[in-house]
Amino acid sequence: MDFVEYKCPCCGAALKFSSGAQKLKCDSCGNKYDVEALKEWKEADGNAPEPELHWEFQKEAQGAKRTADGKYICPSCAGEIEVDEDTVSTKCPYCDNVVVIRATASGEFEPDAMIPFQVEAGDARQRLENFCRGKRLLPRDFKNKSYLKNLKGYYVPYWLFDCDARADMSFRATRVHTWSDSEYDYVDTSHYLVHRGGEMEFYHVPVDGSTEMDDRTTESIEPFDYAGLTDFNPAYLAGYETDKYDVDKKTAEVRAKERLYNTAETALRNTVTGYGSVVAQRRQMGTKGGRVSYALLPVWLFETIYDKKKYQFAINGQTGRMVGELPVDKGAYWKYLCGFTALGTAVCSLIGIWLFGGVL
Amino acid sequence: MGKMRRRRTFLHRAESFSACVPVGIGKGRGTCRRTGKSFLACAAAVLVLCLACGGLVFAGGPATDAGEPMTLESVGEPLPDGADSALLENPAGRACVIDQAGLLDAEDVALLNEECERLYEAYGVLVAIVTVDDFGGGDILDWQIRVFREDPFGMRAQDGVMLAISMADRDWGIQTFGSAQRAFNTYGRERIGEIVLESLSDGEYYDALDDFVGLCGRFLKEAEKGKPYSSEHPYRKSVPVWIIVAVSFVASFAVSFGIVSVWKKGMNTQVQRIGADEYLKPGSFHLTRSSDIFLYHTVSRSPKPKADSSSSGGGSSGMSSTSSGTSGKF
Repeated sequence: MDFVEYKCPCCGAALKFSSGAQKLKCDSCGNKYDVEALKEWKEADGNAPEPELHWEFQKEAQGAKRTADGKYICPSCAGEIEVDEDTVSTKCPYCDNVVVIRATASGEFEPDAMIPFQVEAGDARQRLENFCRGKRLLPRDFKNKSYLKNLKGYYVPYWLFDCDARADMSFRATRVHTWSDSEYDYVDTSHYLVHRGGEMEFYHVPVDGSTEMDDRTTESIEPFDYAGLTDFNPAYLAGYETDKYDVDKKTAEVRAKERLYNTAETALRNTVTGYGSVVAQRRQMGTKGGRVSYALLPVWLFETIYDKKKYQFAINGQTGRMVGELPVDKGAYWKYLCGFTALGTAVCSLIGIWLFGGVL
Repeated sequence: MGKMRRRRTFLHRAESFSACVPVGIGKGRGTCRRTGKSFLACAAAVLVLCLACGGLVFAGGPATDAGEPMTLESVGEPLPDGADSALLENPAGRACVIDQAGLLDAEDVALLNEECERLYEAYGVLVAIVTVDDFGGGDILDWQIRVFREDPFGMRAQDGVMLAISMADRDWGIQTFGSAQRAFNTYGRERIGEIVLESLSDGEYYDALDDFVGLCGRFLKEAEKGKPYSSEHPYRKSVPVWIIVAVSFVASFAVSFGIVSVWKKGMNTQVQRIGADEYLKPGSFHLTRSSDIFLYHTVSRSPKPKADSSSSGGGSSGMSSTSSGTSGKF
């Protein structure tokens, strides 16, 4: 026979069932708990690992497998389809499902979609100047002595994750009530276990599929406007560099999961109101209809050389958002720090002497 | 000690051109001003002088007393019959400080005298200090009135404030005369007494008397501006300049560091995203479960800080006030 032991959430001591109160009671700290509340608490306190999310690769889902005699199998009804070699997609004669043929035929590295470049190369210098504007710590001669190098338009391979997510999370929350009598100040802290569950839909959460690109850079130039997504067309690649992905979707899932969990937690936490403190205790999330697609998104990359050091910049090739790291003039940094400190000290001292007096 | 005394008295001089900078009453710290080497002090003094000029322009001329000035004859209770009036010898002829108890050396007396003379010239109020071994008993405030009438100071002043110290029973008293009662009202005398008592009780007589003269200068200045210190306009003990400068430096450095750090952070706009908020379809989020379960509560208590039970009245270093005098033991 299995024995179930409940421990007090407050002090950790073993609880006993009090038949009179019909509650579990802690002899150590005196707290009493509803049986149902303890059950919920035990579930939430189980330290269960965050479950993996399930995704289906779009091509594998829609693409058709090829048989030994050159026919294709409809992924929907398993009917055999006979098509020409050049056929990209066709409709299954048995179930009317649109079957993608080219994905299988052209290889797994062919993207599902892409966003063509909309920002011109000539804008890079102007955008860099705009980017430098107002930067007080920029070396004064940076604009004159730096020069653009290796300007290239680059279609970065991205994995796009779509899903209907169901999140179920538990939070530890507290409410504090204070009062005083003639001798003591009292603090009464009430502890709550808060459950929130919700459903939400994510559309095209991007994860960089290239090891060549720094994840910080690719995430910094987000978001892309997915209204500009089109089917992959090799014609758009002319004049730009394109790499196939070298981060597989399984690896990319880790980052996608992290971002989805964080957003789900934020969304659910925002519904936990009226408490002084809220701390996430358990996070569970599942996906329905999770899909991964492979897309090429446009990024301008260039470097500047200043003082024999390289500084890399990236521009979202669709929206024009620019990110990068500029050199810091250490002299200007210390000049401003010391100058502000000296000025502030002088002004504050005079005001302080005026207000509070002093011994001269 | 000698250096310290010179410095403290010099501080009173600084007041002569400073309308806004209070004369110090705290324990002396910092550099010796007599050497005149501190650039900061000079710069501050110049700036303060500008503020002082501005302040005087806006403050207008010296204010007149609100009430009828009290004459010497109207001050204090009638003298008790047969009261022994102590005779104060003043070989110097004209002096504001008479140290019969020998608490000060000649140099101290000279420095204090010099400052008291300056205040008399500036405000027409005699700031007098008298120390004796034994004033003869009775009420020290009455004794002070008799002394003032005898005018051992040689000043022939009608308006004045006098600090008297009698070492036999450790008595002290602050008595005011004439129009000085406006500047040194009950609040003022008690406040000055409270501050002077700190040094007096510790046996630091020069510091106590130096504080007294410095405070008199501040109170007279404030009264001249038409705003004598009172419970509605309380005197705040000055904070030493070095503390003000140190706090200003720390605060300024913290703010400056914050500003340049923000600027420096702005030089690198590459930031990794935390979530995927931009990709959450608008309107797609909806709650499917919501429960708030009370678990337990904890109560903690902490004792309230006890109010200071010390009292300024009675005891070995208390004070009491009449309409124009404040006295006590130290």
